[in-house]
Amino acid sequence: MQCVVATSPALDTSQLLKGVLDIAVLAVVRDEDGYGYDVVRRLRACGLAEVGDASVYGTLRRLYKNGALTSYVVPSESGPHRKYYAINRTGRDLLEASTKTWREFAETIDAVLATEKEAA
Amino acid sequence: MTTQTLTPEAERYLSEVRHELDDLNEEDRAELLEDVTQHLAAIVEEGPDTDLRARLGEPTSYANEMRVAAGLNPRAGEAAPAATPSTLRRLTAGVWEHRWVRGARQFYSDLAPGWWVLRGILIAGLPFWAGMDAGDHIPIPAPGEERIAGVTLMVLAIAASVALGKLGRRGKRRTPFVYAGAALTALVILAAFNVYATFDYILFPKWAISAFIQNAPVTGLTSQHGPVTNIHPYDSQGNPLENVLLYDQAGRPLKADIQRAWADQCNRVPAHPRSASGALVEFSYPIDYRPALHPGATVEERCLQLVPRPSVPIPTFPN
Repeated sequence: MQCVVATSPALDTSQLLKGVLDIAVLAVVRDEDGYGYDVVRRLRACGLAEVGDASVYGTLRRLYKNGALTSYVVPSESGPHRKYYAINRTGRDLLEASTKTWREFAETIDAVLATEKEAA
Repeated sequence: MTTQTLTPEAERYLSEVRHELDDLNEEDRAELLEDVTQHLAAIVEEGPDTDLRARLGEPTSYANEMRVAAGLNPRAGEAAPAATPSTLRRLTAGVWEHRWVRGARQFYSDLAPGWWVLRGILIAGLPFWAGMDAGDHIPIPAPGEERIAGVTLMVLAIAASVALGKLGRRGKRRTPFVYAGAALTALVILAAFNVYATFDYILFPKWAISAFIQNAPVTGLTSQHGPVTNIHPYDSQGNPLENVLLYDQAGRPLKADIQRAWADQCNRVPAHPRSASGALVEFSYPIDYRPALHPGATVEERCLQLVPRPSVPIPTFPN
């Protein structure tokens, strides 16, 4: 997933991130399978500096148990074995629905902010 | 790289996280620890000298964050940060996860079901084994002289003890059962030692207790009914005998135990005869129990009465 790195000062998005971490993780593995640490790196590369390693691993585990991801292990002789996660049909449907929900929510918030700004 | 090739710091971090997850069921804990292991391995591969606490935070927070994100309940009491210094927590976790301690924990875990059964037996039996008629309740209690009642009681007690033990092992709400089981175990052990100290000659041979408890007083005669505090000899014609000296098969004097409690609430002590040399002869029967006399104390008249012999069946012998 190619991310457009934000140039504006980072916001304290930790609380917001907790609500959308599922969608972010699904989006990361949508285009390319990834293992836990790799997913963390990709999220941070997109500007989500607040994302916690443990949260990502826990989210991957939960999404897998809920059937949104599949997993497979890639053994390595020189490095650690890696468990890769891949999105499946259920995960894609979940991502699509969540994305729609997020966009509607974001538009609503934008509208509220615009309204408040006009009122001010 | 496998778990065994993690750096020592990573191993310690992993062990502390494992400790924070020990309230989870085995399946959940194993899954999360698998992820943690791979995560630590990836960090270590990237930089073996990485300060894991600086990088990941304290193991407590890390473990809690992961389990919450995985859809599991946070550890009970996790909202309040531990007042324990992190160094002490690391040391505690290190000891807890030492291979010897882990081996002992596994050994206890394997033996626990057997202890649950024994605990049930002790719960049912100790109240009867602590009584003056303990001998009638060995090995199975016989409340109301009904052995079947004792068997039923013991079976129920064992079942309850095993059920409590199982509840303390499984599920996320096992903590109250763990505490209940531990409290019951402590009570049973204390009661058992109290009973053993009083009636050790019933449940253990004297040499075992004497070896275990230094300077433990050697107890007196026992029979299948319990401690023997007096002997009433008769001849074959049924005539009561006095001042009979008794010895065992090795020629050792037989000494009875001392009766301390009396049904009439009187306080009596044995009045052994003395030999010509002035030595007490404690193996002369029957023992004459007299009221204990203390300076300034009065003795009730009823306690001054001689203790009568019990009525006994005298067999008839052929001429």
